[in-house]
Amino acid sequence: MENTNDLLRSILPYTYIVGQEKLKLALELAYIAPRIGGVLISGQRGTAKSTTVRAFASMMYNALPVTIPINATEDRVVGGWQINKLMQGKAEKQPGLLEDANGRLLYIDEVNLLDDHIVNIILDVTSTGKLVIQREGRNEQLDVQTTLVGTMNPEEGGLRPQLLDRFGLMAGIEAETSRERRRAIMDTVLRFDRAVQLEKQGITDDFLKAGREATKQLKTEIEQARLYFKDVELTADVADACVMLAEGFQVEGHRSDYLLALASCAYAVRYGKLKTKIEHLRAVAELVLRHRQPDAIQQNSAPWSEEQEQRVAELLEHV
Amino acid sequence: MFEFKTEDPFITSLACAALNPALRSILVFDAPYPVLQDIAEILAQMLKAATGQQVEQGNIAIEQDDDVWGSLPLPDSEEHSAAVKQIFKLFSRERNADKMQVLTIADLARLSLAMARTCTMLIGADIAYLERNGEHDQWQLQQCWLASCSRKEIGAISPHLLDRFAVRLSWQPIAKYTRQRKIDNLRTFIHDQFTRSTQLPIELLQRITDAAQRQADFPAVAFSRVMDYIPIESYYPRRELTLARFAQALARLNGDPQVTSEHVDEAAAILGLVKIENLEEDKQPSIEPAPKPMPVEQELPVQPTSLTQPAQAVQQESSDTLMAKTQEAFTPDPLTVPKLTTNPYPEDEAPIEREASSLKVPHPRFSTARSDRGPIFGVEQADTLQDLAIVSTLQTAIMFQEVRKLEQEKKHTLLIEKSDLHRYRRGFISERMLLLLLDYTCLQSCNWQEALLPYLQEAYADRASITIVKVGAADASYQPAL
Repeated sequence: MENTNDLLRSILPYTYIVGQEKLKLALELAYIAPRIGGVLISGQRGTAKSTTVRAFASMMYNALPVTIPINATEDRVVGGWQINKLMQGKAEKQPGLLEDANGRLLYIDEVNLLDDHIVNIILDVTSTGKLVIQREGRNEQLDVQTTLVGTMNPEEGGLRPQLLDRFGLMAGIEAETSRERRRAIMDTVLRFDRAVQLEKQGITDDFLKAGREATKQLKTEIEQARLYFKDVELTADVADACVMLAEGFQVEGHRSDYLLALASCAYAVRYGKLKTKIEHLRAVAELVLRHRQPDAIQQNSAPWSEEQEQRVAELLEHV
Repeated sequence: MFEFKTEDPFITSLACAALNPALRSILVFDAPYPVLQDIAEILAQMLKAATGQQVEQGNIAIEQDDDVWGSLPLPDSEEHSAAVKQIFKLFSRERNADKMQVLTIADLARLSLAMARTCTMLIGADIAYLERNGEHDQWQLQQCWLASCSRKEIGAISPHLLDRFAVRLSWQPIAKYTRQRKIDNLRTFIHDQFTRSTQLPIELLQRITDAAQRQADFPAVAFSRVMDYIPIESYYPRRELTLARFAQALARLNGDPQVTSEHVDEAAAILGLVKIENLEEDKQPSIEPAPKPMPVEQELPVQPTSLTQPAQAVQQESSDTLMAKTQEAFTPDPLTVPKLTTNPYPEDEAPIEREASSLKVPHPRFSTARSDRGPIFGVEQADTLQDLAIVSTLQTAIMFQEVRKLEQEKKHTLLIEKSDLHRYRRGFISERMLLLLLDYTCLQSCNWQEALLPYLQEAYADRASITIVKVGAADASYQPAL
C-alpha cells in the first residue's frame, strides 16, 4: 500500500474548507458523540463533500477514512480469507472493511450508488453493532462500533428509508454562491494546487504549514469536547423541547428524540458548555430532522427551507 | 511532418490540461475516433514533457468490473499452485507507480455501466481505492482522461459523470461542408494514414516543460473576472475552478508571473464561455444555421481530418467566431460557422434521454422466472445452476482447492461446492411490448395523447419496448409527430 503520509499530503487541511458549516458541524458532532451513529451528506456536484470528509478524517485520525468504494465485493466488506495463502492450503483470515472501521470513520462515497446487497450488510452492522460473518466457512461474531459517513448526489437517486434512518444526522449541501465565498474557494483551491506541487518537490510552503498548525489546534478542541461529552447535562427544558420538536415534525419512533438530545449535548460541549440550552437544540434540529420528515422519504433531496426553520422556531417558542 | 502552430487554441487547451492535474479530464464533443487517438498521442507527449514521467495509453472498452480491477487470482501452474497468475488490471498501484495513463473513451454515451461507475469514482479523484476479490489497496492516481461524445447525445449521459470532465472542447462539425470539401478531406485523411505524424515540435514540448517549473500568482482582479463568466443559475464550483486553473495554466505557458484578466478572457474564449453581461444577447442555439452565403471576404473554415493538420490556422477573428484560413477558390455552400462560444455544458439544456438513477446497478425486473438474457454487467453468488458464470465459479472453487484436498484427501479432483456457484448479473431487457396503432385520419379532433397516457405509464413502469404503426388515409392532413 502506498505510504500513508504521501496520501495524506494530497488532502486539504480541514481548517481550509470554505463554508459548508452544517457539514462540518455534523462531522464534529458525530465524532464527539459516536452514539449519534453517522452522517449522511447530500448535495450537488462539486461542493467539497468528499474533500471535507477526507480532511476531517485525516485531521482526527491522522489517516484516511476506511473507505468502501461502490464496486467493493462482499468478501472485502465483511471479511474473508487471504487468497494467496488459501491457494497454498493455508487458511488465514482477512479482516473486512467493517472490522477495519471499528472505532473509526467508515466512509462510503456515492452511498446511493452502492449495491443493495452491500447496503443491507452495512445496515445490519451499524444498527446492531455486531458483525456476523457466516460465509466461506467462517462463522464469527464481532463487536463493531463505527461512525458511518456517506456522501451522495441526489441527482443519481435516493436512499431507502431504512438506510436513511440509520444516519443520525443529515447535512444538505448547496454550493456557496456569494462572491466572497466563491473567491475564497478559488483562492484556497489554487493555493493548495500549488502547495501540493511544491510538496512533491520536497518544499512545504507557508500556506500548508499554517493550515496544518490550525488543524492541530482544532483537533485538540474537538478531542477535548469528546472527553467532556459525558459530563454535559441535558436540561429538562431541552429534553422537553426534543420531544416537542419530534412530535411537531411528525417523526415516527423515538430515535429522533434521542438524537436531538445527543446532538444538543454534543453541540453544547463543542462550544465549551456543560449544560444544554434551547439555542443548542435549535442549532442541531435541521441535522436530525431533515431526513426524518415524512415527505423526505418520497424525495431524494429531503429539503429544508425557511418553512421548516420557521416551524422549529414556533415549536421552540412554547418551551 | 506537418507544422504545428502552438497558438492553435486546441493545442493550447491540451497543453494547459497537461500542466494541471485537475484539468486532466477532457471531453471533446463530436470528435471521431481517429482524431481522438491523435489527441491522445499528443497529450501523452505533453504529459511527458510536463511531468517527466513515462506515459501509457489505453482505451476504455470494458464491460465488467473484474476486467477493470482484476478478477480472482488463478494458480500459475499445477506444480506451483502457490504462485499466483498475474491478472490484467486497467487500474492498479503498480500501473500508476512510475508512469501516467492517458485513457481514451471513444463514446461516452455508450460506456458500459461498470465503466461509467468506475469513471465516476476515479475521474477527478486524488486517491483510488481497490477493495475487490481479496485485494485491498489505495494509491494516488496519475491519469488523464480523454473522451468524446456526440453533442446530440449528451442527454443520454449522467450529468454526474459529465461533471467529472473539467475541460470541454469541440471538434469542428463537418456535416455542412461541400461535397468537394468532404472529398478533399477524405483524400487527406487517407494520405495521412501513411504519412501522418503527431510528433510535437521540440520547442512546444520545451515550452511545456518550462511552464511546469513555473508558477503564476492569481490576483483578486483575475478572480473577479473568472466570476464574470459563470452565471449563478448554472453555477457549479468545478466549472469556475476549471476556468481559473485554465487561465493560470495559460499564464504559466506564456511565462507570465501573474494571471491577468486577459488570461481569463482567453481561457474563457477557448473553453467557450461567454461573459454574463453578453449572455442574454448571445442566447442562440450553439450552432446557429447561417442561411446566407459567406461574404466574399470571409474564408472557409478548414476541417482538419486529424490533428496532424490541426493548425490550418484556427484563428480567433472575433470574440465569438472561430475562423480558419484556406486558399481554396471554389464557391462555398451555405455553411455553419462553428462558434467559439459553443456552450461547453450542453447537459444543462439537453432533454433527458437516460434512465433515472442511471449510475445505479439496476434492480432485476423480471416478471416471470429469472431471465438468462440481457447484457452481463457482473456476477453474483448463486444457489442454482441457471445462467452459471463458469469462470467465476471455477475461480472461486480453485481458491479453496488446496484446503479441500487436504481435508478430503482427494488429490486429483477439482472439488466444486455449492458455495462456489456464481451466476451472471444482467441488465434489464424488455419483456413486454406496447404496440400502438395510430390511425391519423381521425386523430385531429380528439385528445388522443391523454387517452394514451395510462398505457404509456404502464409501459414505462415495465420498461416495455414500444412499437408504433401509423396508418391513415392518403389525403389525411394531420399526422401526429411521434
